[in-house]
Amino acid sequence: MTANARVTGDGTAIRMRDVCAEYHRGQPILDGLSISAPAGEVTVILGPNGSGKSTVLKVLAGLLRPTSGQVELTRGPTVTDISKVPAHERPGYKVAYLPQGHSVFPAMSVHDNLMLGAWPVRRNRRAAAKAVAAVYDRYPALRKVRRRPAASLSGGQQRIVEVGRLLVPDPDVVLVDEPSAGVAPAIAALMYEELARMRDEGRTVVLVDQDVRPALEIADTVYTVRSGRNDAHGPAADFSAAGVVREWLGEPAARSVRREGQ
Amino acid sequence: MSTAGQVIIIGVLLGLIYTLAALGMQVTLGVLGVLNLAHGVIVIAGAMFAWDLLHAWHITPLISAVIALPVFFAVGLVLYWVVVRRARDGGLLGLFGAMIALQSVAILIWTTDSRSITVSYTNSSVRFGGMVIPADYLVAAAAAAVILGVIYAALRFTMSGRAVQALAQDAESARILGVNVDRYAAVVFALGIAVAAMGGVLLADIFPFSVQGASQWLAFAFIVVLVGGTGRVVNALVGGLVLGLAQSVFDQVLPLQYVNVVVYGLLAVGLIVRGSGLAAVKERAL
Repeated sequence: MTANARVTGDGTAIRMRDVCAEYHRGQPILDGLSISAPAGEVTVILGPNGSGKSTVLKVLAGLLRPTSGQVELTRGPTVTDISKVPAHERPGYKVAYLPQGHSVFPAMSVHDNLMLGAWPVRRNRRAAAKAVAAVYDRYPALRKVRRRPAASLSGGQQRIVEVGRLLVPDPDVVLVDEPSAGVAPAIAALMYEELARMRDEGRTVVLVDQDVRPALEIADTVYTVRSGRNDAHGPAADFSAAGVVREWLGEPAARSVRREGQ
Repeated sequence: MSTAGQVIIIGVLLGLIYTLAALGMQVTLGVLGVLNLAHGVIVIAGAMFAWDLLHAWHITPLISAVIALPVFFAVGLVLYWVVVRRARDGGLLGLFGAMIALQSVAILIWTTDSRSITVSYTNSSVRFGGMVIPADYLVAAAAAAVILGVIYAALRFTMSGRAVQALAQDAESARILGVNVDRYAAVVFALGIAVAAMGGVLLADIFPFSVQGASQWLAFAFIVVLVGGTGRVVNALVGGLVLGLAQSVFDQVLPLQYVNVVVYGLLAVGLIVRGSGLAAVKERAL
């Protein structure tokens, strides 16, 4: 398994350097932001609404091209500049992205959804079938519903289809936006478990989240972002959920976070 | 005297050909959200293409249908890059312009004369169980069925087909998974044009045609899409069969000049039933 190869130390780090990015000319969302996600770790990006943290993932996933700055992959001694690689070519670089909200193809069967995850290896039928089979082994519940249209599954099952589809091409870098938004608490807990498991397999995880407490629980490194600029960063142990929330929302909100944690 | 069975069989045969002739518009609308107003002109251009090949080189329409695929695919690519690609309105206005421009060009090339195609099987028919089925209907419908079958299988069982479905359902997710969405959009549009032309070749086998007929074939495609909806090839088949059967049945019970009134009445009913017209169809697209 390549997962083992990653664990032995040649995982892939992803970072952005001095990135400026905008959706409308002259209105920068990211303003010289630098993020470095070490190989085989969970890097969590936190920030208040509108701070640009989801935009970080869009830039890393290639959906938004930076107006300046670089996006780089580092594997061992090799550094690859992927700043200008379009989104549809990034799976080929083993970078996978799980956007916020629903992203299954609703009218397609679970199996066809997973098959599309194998798009980077589509010309090798055997490799594609093997990659999909590995995901069925990982999430046996999917095998039972493989012929059903994705839209007929529960919200939680759909999330598992999305995670499974994300893992079909065996990505080295996984970019995840708000995994717990709009799902039941049990599914949210499962999502964080799965992210921790991906890290344990040697994958590099970049997580953007509003739900500070569970994100910090699996984080190795934390960045906070404000108005598209770097605010603070450091090892996860230096951050507390209550502290982060107090800074954005004030003491009453922080108290409620502390209560939740007990 | 014709039996009920004969009326139904002719309706089904017509329906298969109508399905093919409308499929391009249905898929282009369902997958790309682009309403191709130039569809009717392309159908006629396909018919004229078959007539030209027959008279210049004695190429039979069945072969012309195959040749039309790459030729009109190229036409479709040009149309996409020039008119649709950068348009923010789904190319509606640009395609309206293209329809008028192409129709003018078509008149320059082919004049306004009505033409028809006569081949070896044109005036023969197949008889069984007291029914008489024109051979040209049988041949054209069989060809349409084969082409429809190939398209259905390609959409359902190949990776490219899955990518087209994905494009229709969630283009952003398709892009994230690695599908070159821009290229696939161009290919889908161009195939839509190519299939419309192939439909035109088969229609030329059984009906007389002229450049002015473009608006009729556009309206027929509208009916197929309105009645059947978008999303799957089967939807187009439903729309095509309803149209074919309606025409075949009303052909028997109404004087000729009323048949089109009924057929266009179907369009009106479709628009009324689907309150917001083609927009409602688009929302059903899966």
